[in-house]
Amino acid sequence: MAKVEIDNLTKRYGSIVATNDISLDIEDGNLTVLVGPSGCGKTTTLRSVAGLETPTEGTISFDGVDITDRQPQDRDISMVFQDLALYPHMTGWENVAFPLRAEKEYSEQEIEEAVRETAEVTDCDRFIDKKITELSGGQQQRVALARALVRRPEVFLMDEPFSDLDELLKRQLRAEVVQLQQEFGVTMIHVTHDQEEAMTMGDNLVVMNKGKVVQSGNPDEVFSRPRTLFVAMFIGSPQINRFDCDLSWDGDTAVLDSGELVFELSGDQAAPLREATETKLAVCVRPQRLTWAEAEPQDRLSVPVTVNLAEKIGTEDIIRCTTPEGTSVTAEVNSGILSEGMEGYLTFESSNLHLFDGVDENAERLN
Amino acid sequence: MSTSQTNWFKWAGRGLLVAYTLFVGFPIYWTLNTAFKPLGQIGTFPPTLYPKGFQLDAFVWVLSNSRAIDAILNSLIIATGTTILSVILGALAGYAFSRFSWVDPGGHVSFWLLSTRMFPPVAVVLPIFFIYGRLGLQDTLIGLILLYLTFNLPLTTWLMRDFFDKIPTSFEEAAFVDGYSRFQAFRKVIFPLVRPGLVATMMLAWVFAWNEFLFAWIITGNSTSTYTTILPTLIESNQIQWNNIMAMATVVATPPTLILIAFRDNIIEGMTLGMTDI
Repeated sequence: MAKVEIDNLTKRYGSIVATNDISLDIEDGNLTVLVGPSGCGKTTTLRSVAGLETPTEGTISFDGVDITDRQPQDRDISMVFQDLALYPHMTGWENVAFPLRAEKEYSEQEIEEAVRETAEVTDCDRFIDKKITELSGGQQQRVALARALVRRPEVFLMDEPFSDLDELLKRQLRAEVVQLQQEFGVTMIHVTHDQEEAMTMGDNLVVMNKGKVVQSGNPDEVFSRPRTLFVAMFIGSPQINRFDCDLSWDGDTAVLDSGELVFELSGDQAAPLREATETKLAVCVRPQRLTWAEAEPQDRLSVPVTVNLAEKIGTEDIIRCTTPEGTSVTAEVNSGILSEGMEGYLTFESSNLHLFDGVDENAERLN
Repeated sequence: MSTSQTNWFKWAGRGLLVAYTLFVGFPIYWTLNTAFKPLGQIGTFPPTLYPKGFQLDAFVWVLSNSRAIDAILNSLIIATGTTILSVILGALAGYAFSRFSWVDPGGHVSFWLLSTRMFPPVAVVLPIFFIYGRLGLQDTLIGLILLYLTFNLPLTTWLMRDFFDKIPTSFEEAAFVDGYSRFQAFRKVIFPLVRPGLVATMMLAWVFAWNEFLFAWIITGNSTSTYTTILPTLIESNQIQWNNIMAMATVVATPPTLILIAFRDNIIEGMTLGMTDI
């Protein structure tokens, strides 16, 4: 197992900058998830750790040893590829045994044992003897996992391997991978564009955008204190509610006016707004923090809405609403209390607001 | 109504196929028919539809005449030599074009490789004749092998590049990560997957070299004649040895036929270029 350090990693393809000065410390035995939209540089970062890309600048080290110039063969890593890269001319068993045959250091008996053991923990012993082309998507996934784990690598890399699976299988495999990672105590870097997957899997979440790390930290912290407007909009499902408001001051009271909705903040809640450098600010609130009220409350902030659609997702409903002038607001409330056409107020505490200095995606958090 | 129409189409389609089969098959039948006839029966009118008095004389002539045998052997050496060279070089070049983009930025090199196929070969016969004269390559086996190589190599390079392109780069990357060198990854992963394509490419290259006439006619002399240059010499001023010509045609058609039958799965897979899954 190893601690992975990425220092000032930059990778350019001609004039295109894939990753721009990325620095990350990944603790030994930690599961770190790199998440971001396509083209954000997450896969380039992962491939640089694997040695499949040569960084233009910067270094990568495992346990303090600089491995930037080492070939992938000499890094003691394993990787599950997006297309899995299982070899169709071999059986599942031969695929799993493949990494062990690279050097002649294992006897046939040792290989046999290691493959059997790994096949058991990844739950693919039932179909391991079949040809790859005869396996279902989920079974191939398990074989790919087994192949990556069989050598007990220092660092385990996963490049969106679940993207082609159906939702149920995806959830199941995610949970199993997390369990295996903890069991083996291996350092793991997982890349995904799926923020939900990122939230549920990682000890440590690294949000990337346009070749840069925007925020890293544990998932709860990233969710509850997004550092920029991009993170707020990207992380969280359903997406955060956003109102672009003009800031003005009425004595010590900050007035945020979206043109339709007006939020007044005072005291401690208003203080951070003194730091604002822009006059148009993004004011955001998570759908999970909204509660329903029939009448306009006096002690809480609120938005008058009409319910357009209630989507059932189990014990909660996601309700899609619009204000009288057509601003969309989404809320997550207890199931069954709201139905289409109802009118009322979505209310929240002023402390639930996320305030950003500006309305572009790089706008920094104020509070 | 629709059923009878479907039937009509079906039967018309079959009729067309039968007619075409007869059209294609007749020359083969006539070749065999003529090869087994005594010379005296060949020119008769009306012609006999099967050999009366089945004769193997013509085949005996082909297999015992040193000129015919030497020519077939020469063809064999030249075709096989050029195939081996063009497939090895074509596979290496195809792999490089497929995997290393810096080898050929913009794809100009690989495109102009095909230029040797853009003009009729006859256009370069004379220049090559004189160049070969200067280099002392006329009437040598190696001369013809090299000449066919220039025509085969672009074809094999392009075909092999397509076969390598069909194999995802992640297959190799996975092998690198698992501890294999590029050469080992090629041998264990890429080669087994590209083998059907390699076989198909070999066949195409071999058949081209085996059947080539024009350059062989110009470049070879007495010591390296290929079978294609021997056949026309059997047309003499006072008689045409039809039975010998046909027997020789039968003999030289046998190897490609057997090869095609033996490797038909590979060849179909190779020809369809990715239509069948690897």
